[in-house]
Amino acid sequence: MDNTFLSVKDLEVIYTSGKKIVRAVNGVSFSLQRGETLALVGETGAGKTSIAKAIMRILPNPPGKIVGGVVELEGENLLEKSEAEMLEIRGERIAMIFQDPMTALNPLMTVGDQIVEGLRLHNDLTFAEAKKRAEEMLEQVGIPAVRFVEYPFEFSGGMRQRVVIAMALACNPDLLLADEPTTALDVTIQAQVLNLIKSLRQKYGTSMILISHDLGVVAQTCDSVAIVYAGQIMEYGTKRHVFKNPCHPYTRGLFNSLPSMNSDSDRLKPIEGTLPDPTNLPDGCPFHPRCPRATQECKIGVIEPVKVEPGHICRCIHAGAEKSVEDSKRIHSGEV
Amino acid sequence: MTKTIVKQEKTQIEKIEKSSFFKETMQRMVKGAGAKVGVALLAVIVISCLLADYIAPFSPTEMDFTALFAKPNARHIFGTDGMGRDIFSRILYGGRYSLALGLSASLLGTAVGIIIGSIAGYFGKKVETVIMRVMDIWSSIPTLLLSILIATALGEGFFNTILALAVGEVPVCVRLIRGQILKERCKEYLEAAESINCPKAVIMFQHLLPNVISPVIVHMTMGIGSTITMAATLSYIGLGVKPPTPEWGALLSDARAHILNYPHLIMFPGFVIALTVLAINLIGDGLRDALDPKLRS
Amino acid sequence: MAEYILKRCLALIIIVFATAFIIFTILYFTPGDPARALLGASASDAEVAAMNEALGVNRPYLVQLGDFFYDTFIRFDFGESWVYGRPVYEELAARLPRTVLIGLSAMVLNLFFGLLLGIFAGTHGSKWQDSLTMAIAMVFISCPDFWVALMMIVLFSLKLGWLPPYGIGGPEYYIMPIICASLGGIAVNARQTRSSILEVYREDYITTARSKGQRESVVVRRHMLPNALMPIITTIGTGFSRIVAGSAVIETVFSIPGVGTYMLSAINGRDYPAVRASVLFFAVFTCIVMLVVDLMYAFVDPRIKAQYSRVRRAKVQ
Repeated sequence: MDNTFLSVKDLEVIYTSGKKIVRAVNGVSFSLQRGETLALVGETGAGKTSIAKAIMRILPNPPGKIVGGVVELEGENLLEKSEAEMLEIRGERIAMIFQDPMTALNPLMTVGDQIVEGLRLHNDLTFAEAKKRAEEMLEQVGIPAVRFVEYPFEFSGGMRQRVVIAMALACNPDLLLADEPTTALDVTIQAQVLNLIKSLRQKYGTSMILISHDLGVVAQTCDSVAIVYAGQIMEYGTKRHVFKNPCHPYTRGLFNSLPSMNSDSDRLKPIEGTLPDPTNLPDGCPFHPRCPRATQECKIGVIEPVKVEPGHICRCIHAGAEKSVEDSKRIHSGEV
Repeated sequence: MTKTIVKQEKTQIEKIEKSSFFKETMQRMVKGAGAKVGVALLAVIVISCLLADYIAPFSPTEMDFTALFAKPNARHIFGTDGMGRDIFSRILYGGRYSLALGLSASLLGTAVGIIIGSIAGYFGKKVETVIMRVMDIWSSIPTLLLSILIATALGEGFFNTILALAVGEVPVCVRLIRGQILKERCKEYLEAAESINCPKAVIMFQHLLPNVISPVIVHMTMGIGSTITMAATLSYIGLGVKPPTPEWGALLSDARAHILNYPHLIMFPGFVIALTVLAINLIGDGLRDALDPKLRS
Repeated sequence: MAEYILKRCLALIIIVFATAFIIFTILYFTPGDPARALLGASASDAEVAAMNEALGVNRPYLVQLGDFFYDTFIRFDFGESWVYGRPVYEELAARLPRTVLIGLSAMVLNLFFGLLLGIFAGTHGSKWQDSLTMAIAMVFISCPDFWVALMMIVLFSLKLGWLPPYGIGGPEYYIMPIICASLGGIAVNARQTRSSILEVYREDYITTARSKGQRESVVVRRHMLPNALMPIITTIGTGFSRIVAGSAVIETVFSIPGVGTYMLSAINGRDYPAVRASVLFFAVFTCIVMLVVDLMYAFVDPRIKAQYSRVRRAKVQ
């Protein structure tokens, strides 16, 4: 465990809106090795982005607030750092790629200036040097260096996301937080962008937390997977563990709602219902109102995570119970 | 048989949705402290003006020759003017004119603006270009000046003043509506309506208008306030409603010659105008927040 | 860019023509007999008829309109005042500097304090500084300008004796008019600036800038303000139009012999050449300021700039 690069323990985030308190993240724990990629998978509104923003401490405050937990980057707790110290860490050691490339860039600054901004913050560079480095970055993400002087609106969505990636990786960060980097893009562009991220990461040895709701993307890029539901990690393990042997009913539900190529059934099995109201989370397991296996015990108290096998954790009382044959069939197809 | 049931259900659902939308908006609006103050203030002002016959201590035309230019005192709480008429009573009666002017001019201007704006926004292309160019010209003359010109042309009087005030409101409203429609026009639900052969008029009024109306409601509310101010301004410079009528601006116009000696003649009517407009603006602000879909949970 | 400027100037000319047409038409169809108004009720019908003949108001509409356009735009002659007999041009030339001075200074005040207060309130979002600024702004939006002017006269001239109540003379005569003409606009501007800032505050690129490790003050200055102030530029024109119209009334309150007082007295005296010229002046004044604002906007917004320089780039490639 000495190799642990980032560790998050019992992270809790709330948003206050008027008198209501939205519990977005409720005791999330995970850890990341250097160079490793972790996927946070879950529905929209499950709290994935809040986790990422909490790690960087860029939650909009108010209304967002970190109320508990520890975020350790190489043994230092980021939540105890001063704002000035965080300025050094943001962009330099942790960088973030945002979901929507159309809104993530300042429309009134040239893309070059936006890359240079981050570069000069963390490196002692003259503008000319920073410009040279920024142009190299642009070339690396497949944008001709002459477009340095152009404004975001002159780029297509895919190109803008490349700019955002160039911006994030410009300072050679240790950790990259990628918040659904391909959701807003066309499928063909998606693959390009994912490959780009992958190759740049390998080149620089960057660790990554990939936030996604797309299991296909996750299968393609990640080492380990955490399934997030209502601000809690429901299942956590290596990609192999989670994809081959999903234990949590929610994870299985996710796989079951994927269309498969080699299955005969002509109907998908969606998970019934919707995410619980985060201002009023149900007692017990937050998934129990939608869970096909829910029993009386699921509705009360706190459900503790169970170790299913080494390195594979599942937050379900029924974990380890046998899976139906049908389930396992589908799981194989989900991995494609 | 099933058709009628479906229809009944539909109208029921609509009823529920409509009433709850209105109710919800009102509830949300009154939540804000500003809107609460606004509603209370306006209610007091409107009710006292409506009940002027019972509340006002004097008739608006009654002259008290023993108290010319009286400073505010126990008998005349806002004092009296040069003919010994009680300012407080005149303000109460005059409020009827001012409030009616503001409300009807704003309503009229907005209604015309909505019609022209929706035509421009919906049909687009040449119709839109022509209408918008006309609006450019229309609004190149500052609103107040245009109202002054129209008031000159139409002559004084209550209804002419309404027209003069409404004319200035139109281009702003047209722009607002058209801008909103431009925003909505490219959205899919309109295409969906068109794809099932929905008539243009139905698309315009049943689908488009409800989606663009919120800012217009806010604008109209605020417009009542600004037209009251504008009406007062018109009367002050001698256009619009003429002095023996106790309209608020006319009261000020009446008193302008005496400002150096009797400032209370100016102070009270103006203060009531400011208070009324403030109340309306507070309500408009509250409405804006209440109607903002971004803030609605 | 030259193409854009040319296009806007052309639009300005069309608008000025159209405005002249509207002003003329409204006044032409205004009921009432100008000669009767000039000569008074005691004049005989024959005298009135002769006067109307002399003024040329009996001629057909189109002839008069043509004359008006020819005189105004080709000969730059605004005619003679029907009431005083003096050329309107001379009168305007003498009064114009005062009106322009009040209008432009009020606009500068309006922008400076409006933005300042708006930024102050917006960056203190939902704290007491914000609420207080906005409450004061709301009060000033609600007060009629001319009433504030009257109250200021009462306070600063009558009670305190600091400033002259009306007339013209040294710079101190312009202090109150300029402040009064700008107060309402400052409040409107402050509110718009504030809400624009609060809107930009939620934008993703602000989070992006923070995620780079940029200091909050720089995030505000470099990313938030330029984007928040961009839409404010487009409202300058409307604000100015409001100031111009308001200043006409303010001039009357302070008895400043500017174009505004000239226009209002001409309206009351049915002195149509004077009314036409002074309203036209206000319209042109507003249009020119709007044009300048538009050009400014095109200059700072890369999106519009690019639209007109794309041709050039295409040629280079």
